[in-house]
Amino acid sequence: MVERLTSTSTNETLLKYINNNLTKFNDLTIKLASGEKLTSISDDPTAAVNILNTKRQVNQLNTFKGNITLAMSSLSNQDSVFNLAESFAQKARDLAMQASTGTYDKSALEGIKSGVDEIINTLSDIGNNEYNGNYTFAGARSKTVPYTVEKDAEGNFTVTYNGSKATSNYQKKTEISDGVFETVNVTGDQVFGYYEKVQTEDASGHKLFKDASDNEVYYNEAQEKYFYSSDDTEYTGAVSDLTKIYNQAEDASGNKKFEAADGAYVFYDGASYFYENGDAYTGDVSELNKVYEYNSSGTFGAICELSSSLGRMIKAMENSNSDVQQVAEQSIRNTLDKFSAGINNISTVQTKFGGVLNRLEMTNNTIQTNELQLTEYLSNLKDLDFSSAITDWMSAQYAYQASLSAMSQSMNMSLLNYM
Amino acid sequence: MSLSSALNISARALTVNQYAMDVVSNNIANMNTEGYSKQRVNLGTVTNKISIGESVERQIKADNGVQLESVTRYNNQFLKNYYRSQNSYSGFLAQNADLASQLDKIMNELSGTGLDAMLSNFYDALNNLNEYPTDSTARVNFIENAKSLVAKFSSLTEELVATSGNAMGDGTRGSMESSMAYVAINDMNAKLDELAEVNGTLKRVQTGSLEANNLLDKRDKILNDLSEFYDFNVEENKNGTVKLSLGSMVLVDGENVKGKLEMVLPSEFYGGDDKVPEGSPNAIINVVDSEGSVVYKNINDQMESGKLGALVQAEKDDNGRLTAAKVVEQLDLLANAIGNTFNQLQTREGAYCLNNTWSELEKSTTPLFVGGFTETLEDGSTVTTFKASDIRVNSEIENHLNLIAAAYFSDPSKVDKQAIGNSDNVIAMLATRNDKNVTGLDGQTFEEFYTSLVGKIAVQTSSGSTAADAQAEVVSSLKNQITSETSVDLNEELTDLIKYQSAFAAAARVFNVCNSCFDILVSLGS
Repeated sequence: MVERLTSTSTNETLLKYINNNLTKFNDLTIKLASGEKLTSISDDPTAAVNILNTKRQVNQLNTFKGNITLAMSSLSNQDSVFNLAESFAQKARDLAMQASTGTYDKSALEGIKSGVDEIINTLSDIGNNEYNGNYTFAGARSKTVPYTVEKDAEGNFTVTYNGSKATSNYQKKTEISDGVFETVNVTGDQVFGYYEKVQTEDASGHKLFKDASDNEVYYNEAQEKYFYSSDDTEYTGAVSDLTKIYNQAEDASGNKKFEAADGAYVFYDGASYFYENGDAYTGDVSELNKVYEYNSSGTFGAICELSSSLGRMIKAMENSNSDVQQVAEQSIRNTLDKFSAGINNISTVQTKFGGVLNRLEMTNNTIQTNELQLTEYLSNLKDLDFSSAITDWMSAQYAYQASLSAMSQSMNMSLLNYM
Repeated sequence: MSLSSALNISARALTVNQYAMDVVSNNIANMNTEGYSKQRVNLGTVTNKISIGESVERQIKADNGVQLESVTRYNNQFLKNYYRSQNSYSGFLAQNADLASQLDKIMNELSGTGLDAMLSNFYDALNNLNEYPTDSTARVNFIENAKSLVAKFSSLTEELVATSGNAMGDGTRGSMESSMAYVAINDMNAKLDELAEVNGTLKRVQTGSLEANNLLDKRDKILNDLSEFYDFNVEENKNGTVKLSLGSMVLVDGENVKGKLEMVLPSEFYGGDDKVPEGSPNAIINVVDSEGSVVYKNINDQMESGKLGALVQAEKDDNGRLTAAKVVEQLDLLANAIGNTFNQLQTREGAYCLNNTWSELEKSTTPLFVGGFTETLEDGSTVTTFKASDIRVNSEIENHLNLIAAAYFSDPSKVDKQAIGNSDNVIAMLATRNDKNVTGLDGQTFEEFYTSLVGKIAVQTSSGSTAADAQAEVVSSLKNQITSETSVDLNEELTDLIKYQSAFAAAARVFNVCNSCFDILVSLGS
């Protein structure tokens, strides 16, 4: 303890304490006003770093939550699309079943065929489902209409799939937790299939086209250019003027396949036309229609085959060709298995997505729990405990007031007052 | 014994007590003067020189009485010296804490507008781009967030660079002359002049006088002020003058200023910009004499205490201390890592962007970030280095949003130009958020690297200000101790005043009595 006390030193000491009290009071007032424990990172470096890390985690969790919500709504949209597609495929299969019994007359079969044709259009509309501005089943070609349906002069359907193929290995992924990506799409070819004519290729594997004046043009993929097959000069016309050349179907010995007016198949070996059983075709060659080679897959493959088989059967009935009628009936029966496989494709994907949906829901729950805990932790770190802060603030206020009044009282005291 | 002797004694007592009251009044007048020490009158009895063998009567008759021996000031030299060395240390710590808190303010991340938040927004935008790779809104959003990120980088470095020039300037004259060290040196030089002047006056006045004491107080105050700048060596002479030296360099001796500090640019010091060695500080301190010629060259290394020491060492990054320049270096590392990582993904083999009609994919060759410095290595490959101050978002991408490479094909044979919805490259970009193998970041992700940098700054500031506060407390308690030992107490002075007043009154009464005795004697004769 200091031996001598002077008015100056007493005043200075008192002033220092008043100042301390004022600082404490002021700090608490600022904290109360801002509601934050820390006003600067150096107030508590450990807490500051924790706050930054936790804030980032909460932020990330929010992003994941957003992603999951988006993915879940996209998946449930796909689920209802699958349900719809399945019911139409089932309906088409029922029609195939009825047609394959051989008990229907021509007009009834025509009715069935028009029903089947309608379903083809409906299914392609379903396959062209749009969600959130993108085509759901077009894979990475999200802005390309995935299915186009064409009906040729003979009433045969082609259902072309324009989206990116399952074999392109592209999957739309969304991040659902740190570094975990979940696939949330499926390409149309995988789930609904297609029924496309096979485009002819030349010996070097280049796809062939015809220009407006029927000259053959091939496409060089590496150079991304079109050339004339005859002299390898570059085709400079509009690409939209080109039409694809398709493979004609052939039998095992390489004879070209045609269809006669009564639905019977006719083959051409380069010299003469003959029926499947070897009998010469005596009809008009101009009445023969080319039969094309098709790539067929899934529900669309089954339903398009059904439609063309029904067409053949009706033609056979018109011409009372019972042989062809039997063959067509058999091929209708064959589509039943293909339908089953097609429907199975859809339900497999549906089941898979059901699993994904469950996983997303689970992750979402985990995220919500985590978020709750982290938010609480964050709040513990940075938010002020008001009840204790106010108590502290009140006592700081009292302390400050007390020191002020002590100072004012003691400063008056000196010998001067008594002289 | 004679009447006149008593008269003389009382007359002297009147003078002495009046002088004592002068001192008291001086004390009271200066009770609030900073650095003033209470002075007290030392009285003594007058003793006559009496030869041995003189009669007792003669001895009694001798002219005794009171006399003024000296006026001394209350002083505790040891405490004052101790105070000065502690004050130097406090100046050093306070200046350091002040410099550190400047970093702290710049890197304050709690507001939610720091680099950390920008990085987080950037990744959010990337995540959004993954959902909508062909959507122009998502692309604009991504580019805008990338721009905010690099803007934050550049504003941070700008502030940090400005801060790093606060202490010693940034190597230009204008900046040096407005630096904290320059201002401090000017203040200090002025104090050296004052000290020399006080020394000069002290030489001429008599020690133990009121005037000498006042000068000593003034000298002590100057020394206290000087101690804040540097822990100078002070040698006191008998007459109260001091010799002040910085280490072994004498700055003030008696009434002469032997040396003043001067700050020069390194280019001036070494005689040309090209001759400045690598790692040279932004300003160099010399000691010059009164004619302006250099006495001691480049004393930067000796400046290690006080405020000046802290300022000179501010940009030295020894002991792993984070200086503003060091923080800029760390930000450069981060900016470089981000720039190169994203450019690599943006332009790698297999990365595809949209063509200008947004209808098909084409090979991506446009980098996302530009502004780096590219050098070609011996083997012909190029390395681009980004700096936080220069990294920018490529304006070509900003103007042609289709150039953002969202698509990626790992297998070149499976490239599908119509697959514009492919966002595999965005996914790869998203994955960088958790990548701990980024070159140059010591096994940390971008965000971890930055957070740990902020943490280091926070710890540094916090420990710096704790140390400074503790030292300030030491200094303040020392100061308080000195004040209580040396300052004026009103009660004491009033007591003294009454004491001397009574003595004065009593002496006057004695004088009066003697006077009337003379009157009686004179009337006897008439």
